[in-house]
Amino acid sequence: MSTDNQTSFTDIPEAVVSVAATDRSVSMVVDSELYPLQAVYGASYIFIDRCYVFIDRPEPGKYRVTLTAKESVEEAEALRQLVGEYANELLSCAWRHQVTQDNRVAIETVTVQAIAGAMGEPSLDDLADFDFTDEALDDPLGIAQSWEDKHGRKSPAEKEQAKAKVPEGEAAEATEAASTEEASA
Amino acid sequence: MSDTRPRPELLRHRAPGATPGSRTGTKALIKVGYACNEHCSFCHTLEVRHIQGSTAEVDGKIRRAAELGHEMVVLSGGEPTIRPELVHWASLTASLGLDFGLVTNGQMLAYPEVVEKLIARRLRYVYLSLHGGTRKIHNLMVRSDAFDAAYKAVENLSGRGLDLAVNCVITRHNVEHLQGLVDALLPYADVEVKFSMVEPKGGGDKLFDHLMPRVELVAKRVMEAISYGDRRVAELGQRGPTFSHGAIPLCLLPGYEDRFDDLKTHAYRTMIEVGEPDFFPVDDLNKTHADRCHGCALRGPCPGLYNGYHEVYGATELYPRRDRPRSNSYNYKLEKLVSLAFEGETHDDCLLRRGVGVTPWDRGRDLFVRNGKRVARFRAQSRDFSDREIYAIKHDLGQLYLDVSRKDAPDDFARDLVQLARSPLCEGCPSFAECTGMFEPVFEDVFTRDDAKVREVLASLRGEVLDLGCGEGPYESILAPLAEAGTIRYLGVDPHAAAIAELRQRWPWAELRCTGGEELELDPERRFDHVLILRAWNHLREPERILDQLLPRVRPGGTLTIVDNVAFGLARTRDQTQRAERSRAQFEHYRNDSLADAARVLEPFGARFGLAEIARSTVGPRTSNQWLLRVRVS
Amino acid sequence: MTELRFPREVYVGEAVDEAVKTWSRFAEFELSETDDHWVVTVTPKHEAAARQIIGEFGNFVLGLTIDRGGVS
Repeated sequence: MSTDNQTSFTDIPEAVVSVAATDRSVSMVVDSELYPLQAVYGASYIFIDRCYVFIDRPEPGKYRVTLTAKESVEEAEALRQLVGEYANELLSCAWRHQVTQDNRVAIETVTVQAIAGAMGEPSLDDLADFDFTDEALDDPLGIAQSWEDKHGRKSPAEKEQAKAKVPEGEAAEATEAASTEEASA
Repeated sequence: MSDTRPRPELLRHRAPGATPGSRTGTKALIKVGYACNEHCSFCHTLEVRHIQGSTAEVDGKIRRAAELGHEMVVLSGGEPTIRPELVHWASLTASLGLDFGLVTNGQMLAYPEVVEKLIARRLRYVYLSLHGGTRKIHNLMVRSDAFDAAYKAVENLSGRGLDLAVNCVITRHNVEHLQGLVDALLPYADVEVKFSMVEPKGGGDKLFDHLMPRVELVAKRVMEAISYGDRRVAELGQRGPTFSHGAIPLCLLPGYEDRFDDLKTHAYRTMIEVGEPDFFPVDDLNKTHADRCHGCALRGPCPGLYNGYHEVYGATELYPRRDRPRSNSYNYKLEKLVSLAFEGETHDDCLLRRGVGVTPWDRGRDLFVRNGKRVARFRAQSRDFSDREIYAIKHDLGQLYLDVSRKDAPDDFARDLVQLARSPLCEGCPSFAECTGMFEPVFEDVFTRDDAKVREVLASLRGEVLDLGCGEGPYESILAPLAEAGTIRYLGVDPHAAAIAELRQRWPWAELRCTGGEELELDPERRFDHVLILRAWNHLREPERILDQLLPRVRPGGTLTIVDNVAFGLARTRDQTQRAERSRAQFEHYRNDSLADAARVLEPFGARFGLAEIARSTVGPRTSNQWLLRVRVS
Repeated sequence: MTELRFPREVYVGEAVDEAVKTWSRFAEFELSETDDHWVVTVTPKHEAAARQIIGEFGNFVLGLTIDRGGVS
């Protein structure tokens, strides 16, 4: 990173190619390979409330972002803060952009699945072609099993059905036993 | 020579871009079903454990969360990790550009490959239950052999750049064992350990007598555990774990008030249960602030007591803090320009009913403002006020303003603030009562209009006048001619030395004292025809004591006039909000009393001094935030 | 009079047009274009607020560009 004037901006990420400051504005040149336009848009949008923001293309492969304070600023320190905040936003937006790109395969897969779903139930042939290995989870310890299934307990609906089948006295005893068991746990 | 090989956990893939402990991303909480592989005695969903949401239902809800602008989807249950669709839901969430989170008992995350798959699909947040530091305690609480798996999950998740919280629900069974949990989690410096009061709901309600500890005891043990944890972390020279608490009234946690942790501190905005048609805002309606909490300075962030606990034990354990000042306003920060070309004329065209939906928005904290064709959404994150207080300020009192100044804190309301009122668009809307509402600017100076009533009262004064809290003398144009003509004799009192010094220069006709109302000493024979407390009532620490001293000094036929402001919300841009939040302005109000609150304080004096109300103006939508109460002393 | 050159690779042409319409109450505008830029000559109607008008106009063009998804 280099600076074009006396103001030092040593805490700015290296990928910001250069920083130039006047008394009220600051310009940063960023590499468009590292910071795609969508990231520059994202970071700039956040600063619209606080600054006048202008983006231009000084040369191919570079964007220059000029932030001009809407009100007077306390010289270098405030400008430094502005550049730092902008650089942080830029980094965050670039990262989000990268994540979206990284997930493109997943996005496309899900989109295809969604469209396929909208076209109706898959045929048996389709099902045979699906590969579930990526999304399936191995569970050798049998953890992914409800407590009721694991312990052979009945759901409330099943309990109701069972209750309807047994004589009244026995049902009352069963309920009482269940309550006692829970209370002593 | 030291061993420079990396520790095993550092070789694992780290969640890219995730910042430990960062909680800025707004979360939507989706309950995928209520089945669980544990059977906690205090299970919230005891009665509905057989209900599971379908894959398609949860898929639809994830898409809706993205549409609403959330930044993270968090799945909860029951236990979400026992669902075979878990990885599919993480993939779907990531494909929509959102982060993924889990509220879980953690058992499935004991499998390292499950953790890897989820982190690759943007798992960034885990809120994991661990109720004891040993097998005996944890397994007793969850009635399963679960400790080893849950503890292994903490090991798998720690050091991965996740926002990782471990929640410990406190019942009678583990309240004496909290330090054991602290010891067990000390090796994991990026964990937030949270101690939560058990909720009397589901199992917690059914087994209330068996499970429910007294909240005072819980608070005591939590403070001991946090203090112990802080000390151990410092001794070890680590940056964590950190410690927090939830659902315990803050007055019971002196010195640890700022460690509160709840759905809002975790940036949850909305949630949805199985079978619900759309998201709802997260709320605190399962908790209550007791009558005795009125005027407590901690009320904003304080959770209060669970309703079920309050019904059984009342609020006798609480001791409200009225000895410290609190804020009298909060900010709504601009979040989004929802539309630049809105042309709707009736509720049928409304963006909320036809576009973004009615139910997902918090009725107090979310604010939609229309100005011509533009519609913007603002959000109040303030914890200086509780949800109920914010709702009342917005809807009952109508005290919302757009800050059109460039100041940290507006000080000339008539110039700096434009009132916001419910839009004509809402008239006759069938969703009026459940909607957060559309608001529009009212271009009328309500402050000057309403202050005219105060000016009218002052112009009618005759005789001896005591002005408690005279400030910088805003009513000079009325008081000065009366004093100079000998119509009134004026004593002004204020604790601010600079204000009094300045008034001494400007008001040679006035007697001025620099002191607080509580410290004011008067000649035993001194009497007044009129006592004024103008926008100073909420600055008084003990208004009852002051009335007790002053009312005997009011001559029969004399008056007491109290004027003050209720709290208000300010809609501001991001820049204004940032500047305001950075400013070091001190709070000066001990309460934000309304006219009704002041009347309640006056009531016990009514018969003794023959008080009769002669004027009142209340606060409501389309009035300013200033109220007036005037009584005659007979 | 100030000339603003909005790069076509960054700013959407429709955003420039719409911003000019909205801000015509506050300034005179002249539009032209080159191969690489949308060129806008701005003459604010209120000299005292010229800096603010030009700056906010630039922000408005950028905001509308981003609202439209940017230059694809």
